[in-house]
Amino acid sequence: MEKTLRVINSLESEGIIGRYAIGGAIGLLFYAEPAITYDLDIFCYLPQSGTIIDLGPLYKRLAELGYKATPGEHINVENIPVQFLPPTTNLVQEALDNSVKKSFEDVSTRVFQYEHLLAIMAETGRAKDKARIALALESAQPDKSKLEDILRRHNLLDKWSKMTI
Amino acid sequence: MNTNHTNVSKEELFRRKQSHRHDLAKLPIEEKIKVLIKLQHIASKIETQSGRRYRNPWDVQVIQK
Repeated sequence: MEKTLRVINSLESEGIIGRYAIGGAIGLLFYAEPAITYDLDIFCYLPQSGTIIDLGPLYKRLAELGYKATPGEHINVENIPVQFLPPTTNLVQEALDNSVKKSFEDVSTRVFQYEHLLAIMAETGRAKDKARIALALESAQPDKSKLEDILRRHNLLDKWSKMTI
Repeated sequence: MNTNHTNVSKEELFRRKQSHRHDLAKLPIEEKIKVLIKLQHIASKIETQSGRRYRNPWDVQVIQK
């Protein structure tokens, strides 16, 4: 995975993508017990005009680097399927802005904070998010006051209660 | 055969399982990725056997530190 992260870091340093951080199930892996997933979700700022996101520069650069991109699907970067996703809600944007530095082997990267990952799963609200929240909470405890603050500010307290019954 | 050490209560079994999960959560990320790849291999085998669509496990090497 370090090769994949090196490519993503270079995309950021070249300005092809803005600030990025790992979210989704791989993000969760940094805090909780391993659970199966296949995609590496990279949340990042991308060139945008109104509500239209321009993936052109990203796909062009990836193609130059030898990685084939299919719009709307993942891109295999060094044998790992990567999805580049813009922040679509205020909560995800906050998670991206407040992501923390981590390292994988010797490669530096950024990851959403645990409490943001949990809140995002509550916000998304799919059955698999409910299952992942349960698994995560059984193996690693979040900072409860931080989580509650995030949930309250994003009106997710009720949803959280329903997801964690 | 002395089986004293194998006689445990249900509560103790669950406590051990819980403790194991806490230990897994504390593993370095590199170790967790190795576990993830093993899980992907197990899932792809099960899915192949049951005729379901499966996704390829990651073809990556994680260097042992």
